[in-house]
Amino acid sequence: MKRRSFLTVAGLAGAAVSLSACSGGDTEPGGQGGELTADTTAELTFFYWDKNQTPTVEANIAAFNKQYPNIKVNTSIAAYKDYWSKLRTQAEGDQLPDVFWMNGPNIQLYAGNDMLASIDDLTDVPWDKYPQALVDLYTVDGSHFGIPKDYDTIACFINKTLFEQAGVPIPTDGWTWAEHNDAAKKIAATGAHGVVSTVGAADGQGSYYNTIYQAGGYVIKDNQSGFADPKSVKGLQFWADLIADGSMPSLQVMTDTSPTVLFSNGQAGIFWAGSWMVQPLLEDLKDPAEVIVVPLPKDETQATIIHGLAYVASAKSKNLAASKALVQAMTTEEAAKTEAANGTAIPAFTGTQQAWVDGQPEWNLGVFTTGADEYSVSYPVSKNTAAWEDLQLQILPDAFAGKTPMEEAAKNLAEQMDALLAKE
Amino acid sequence: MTTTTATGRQAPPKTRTHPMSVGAWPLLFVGPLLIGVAIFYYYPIVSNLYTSFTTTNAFGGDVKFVGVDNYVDLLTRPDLPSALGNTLLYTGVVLLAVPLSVVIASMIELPGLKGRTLYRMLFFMPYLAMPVAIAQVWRIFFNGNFGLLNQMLKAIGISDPPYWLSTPGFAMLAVAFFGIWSSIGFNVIILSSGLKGIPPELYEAASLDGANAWQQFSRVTVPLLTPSIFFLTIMQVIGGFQLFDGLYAMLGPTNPAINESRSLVYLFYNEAFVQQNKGGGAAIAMFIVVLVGIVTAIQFWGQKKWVHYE
Repeated sequence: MKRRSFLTVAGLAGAAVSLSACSGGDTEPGGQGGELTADTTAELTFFYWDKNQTPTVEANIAAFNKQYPNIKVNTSIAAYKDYWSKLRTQAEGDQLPDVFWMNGPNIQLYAGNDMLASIDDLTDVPWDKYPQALVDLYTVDGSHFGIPKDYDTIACFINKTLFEQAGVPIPTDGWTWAEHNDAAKKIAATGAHGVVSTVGAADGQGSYYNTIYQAGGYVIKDNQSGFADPKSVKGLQFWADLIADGSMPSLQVMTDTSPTVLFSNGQAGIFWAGSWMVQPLLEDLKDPAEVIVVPLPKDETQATIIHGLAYVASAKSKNLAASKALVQAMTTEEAAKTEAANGTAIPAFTGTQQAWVDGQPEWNLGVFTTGADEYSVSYPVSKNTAAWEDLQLQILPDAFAGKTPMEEAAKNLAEQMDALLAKE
Repeated sequence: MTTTTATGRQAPPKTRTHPMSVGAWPLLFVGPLLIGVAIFYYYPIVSNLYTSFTTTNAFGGDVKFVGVDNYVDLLTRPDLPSALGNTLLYTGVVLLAVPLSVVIASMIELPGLKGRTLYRMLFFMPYLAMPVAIAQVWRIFFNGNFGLLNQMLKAIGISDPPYWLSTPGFAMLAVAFFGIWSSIGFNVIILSSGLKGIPPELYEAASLDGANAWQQFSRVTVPLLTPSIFFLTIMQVIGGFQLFDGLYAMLGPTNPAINESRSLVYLFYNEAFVQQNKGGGAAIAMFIVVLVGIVTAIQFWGQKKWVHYE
């Protein structure tokens, strides 16, 4: 029964897309990848992790099948936590799916070990229609390996009720670190939590990567760690200070109750989080009307970390031309429009984001897309990103909690990270 | 079965089948099991031993032989002593499950107890449930903000109870408590069957001699249970050295207390699957195997002094 209703949804969505695909069909002739024709018969496997995006995926595959009716795409799905270990096992056994989702921390690992097919030979990809930071993220040693699917940036979710109770103006037009910290302190004085974030889980993307770049520091440059840079230390210290003066709850409080829950229960004034939190928060919040999104505060400069997924093809695919065609079909303007209409992620294709922003007009979601266009910083990666992300997890939480001086922790982290980078 | 000796008369050769067939038949029956054990246990161990002398790329390719480098790296790791200490501490604490189980099993098997089956079932049920699922329940119990435990502590006047799962030290205790709780079910079943093997006459004789309940328990029950107790101790120690899932499910990789609470297997997991260092991970795995082997050998050697086989 589950499968049946799932197919029904996919079928309906597919019909909608094929209608729009027809209108724009003549601008996009088929036949990418040389020998591929409308009669090509092939079977492809496709692997992804987000079940919320199944309708989008199925709809876009249906559109692909309008063009290539004899190419059958078998999808499989795994929860995010299992996705990467399954993918790795498949890679070790030469059993990678033909087409799959890729993210920033893993792209260099897979591309650098010859697991992915270069897609430089796809001639009609409109590369200038995707955010440059994302195109660069999926370019390894000068070759394109993935076409951006969607993106996310970071912003502050604000609880308007708590702001009003504390007598703090809502910073719709942006704010500085000082204003942010002042607001958090005043909210904390009313008994609520001033600000919460995933900083305790050493999730740089949602917290200190942003403040490091805002302070003028950096995470990695020319394969060298930037954590020890005094400006980076300032970006890290930002969080230790918030915890020290009580504006932010202790790491223990945020470990036992996640920041998401604290915010959606109305216990926290400011929540640093990514655009991917919009849908979950809409579902969990008791009163969505008391929430609005504002830009991250700025220090020396304004910055928000941008990251996004890409579609990639396995280097070992038996139907390489068909696989590459699928990668391309899943990232067209039409595919992006489907993505935006379903509201699950911000599509990467320029000009298609408005539908996503309009999905929740009162929340001012344009903050996320404006950030991406105007002041976003690429998610920092190297070949073995996971290795030094794990170091952050081992070293930084003690410093955020005030148990070790931040400067010392950052120096220690930078040294160990440089040792790992040297091994890559 | 008759055998021939060098000096004795030759047995009539016709009366028995060819000696080779006698040797081959048993092998045929154990064969499937042996093949299974060889493929799923011996081969991986040997393969792991080889891996521990190599480095590979993240996908297992590009294998290079590096001698004992991985072992040198392991023994000079700054976090090895604490991981070893945590593992030993955990193993020591969960060993308490054995005496605790002896007491519980003896009470369940008391003559004349009503609802014995129900008690057995209640104690055994945790063993059937999925450990990771149970760990989630215990996480809620230990939760520092709203957990049942801290609510109770506050109710009896302790105003500032600790964050059990995110404070180093307490976190290890909480995980060990979970370990004890989840192993009692299995222990009780093993001990119950051991208790059934004790002849009732022994108790009658003991009470005729004027032994009270405690004396009967300590002089009759416990000594005759020692084979079961020994078996459980071995299993409990091995299980203790393999601590991972309880730690991972209850604390998780992003817990501020995890750095002080890592076990040896946790180090292995991190090295092999997070840091992508297969050779280093294999070396840790070998280290654990040898360590468990030594501890188990010592236990087998020591059993002569305290285990009574009838």
